[in-house]
Amino acid sequence: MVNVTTERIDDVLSADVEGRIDGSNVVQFEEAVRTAIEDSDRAVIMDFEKLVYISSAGLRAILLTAKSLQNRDAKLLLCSLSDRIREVFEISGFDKILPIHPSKAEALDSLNR
Amino acid sequence: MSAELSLQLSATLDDIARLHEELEAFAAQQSWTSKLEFEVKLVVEELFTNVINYGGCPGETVQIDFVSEPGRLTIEMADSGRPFDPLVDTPDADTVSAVEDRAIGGLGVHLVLTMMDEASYRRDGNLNRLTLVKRREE
Repeated sequence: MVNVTTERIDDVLSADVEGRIDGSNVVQFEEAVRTAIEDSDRAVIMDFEKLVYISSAGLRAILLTAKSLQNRDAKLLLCSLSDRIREVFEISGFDKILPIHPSKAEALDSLNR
Repeated sequence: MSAELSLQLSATLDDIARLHEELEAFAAQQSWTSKLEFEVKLVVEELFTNVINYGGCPGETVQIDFVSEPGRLTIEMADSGRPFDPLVDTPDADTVSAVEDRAIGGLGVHLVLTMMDEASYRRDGNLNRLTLVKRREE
């Protein structure tokens, strides 16, 4: 089960992702994120504090989101990864291409600098 | 003490949820660390998804057997798809390119090879057989 809860902070979309992203529900995750993003958003912050599991199916969805945002000079940021989730991002080299912040406040801060 | 879990899954995305449920129960019963549980779920999902997507045997049975012993965990997976060795026949993972150039293929197998200590493949009659070993410290 995966739940995505979004709110807009000025022109930044914050998406809290709860549960697990695997091959059987990644389509729901992709759909929830895609429909929430508006062309006026200059950044999207995915908060993974309540994400307990992700497989490469989820990584693929995140990469596609990052590519589509980058096409119009918007950014994808991640925050609050557990040790397990961070390990998956590190092995995949995603930590080298996506900014990962300890908390949502710090992710927001980095955008306002 | 050693214990075994034997699963017969159907090669469909819906059975990924069942795979995770069965592994959660087995992990709790065997007092696996959360790290071991996470890694085993991940590697088995990756290989099972490969069979679903590339095996050419939709809906057919995939047999997955787990033997949990104090020092090691052994996972054996068998499917009746076309001959396919994911350890060799998948593209190398791209873990270095920038966002715009990054390709996604091969990440699943890259995760498997990083998280497991041993992985081997053999063709056995009309079956693909994969064997994975994870050594355990506790």
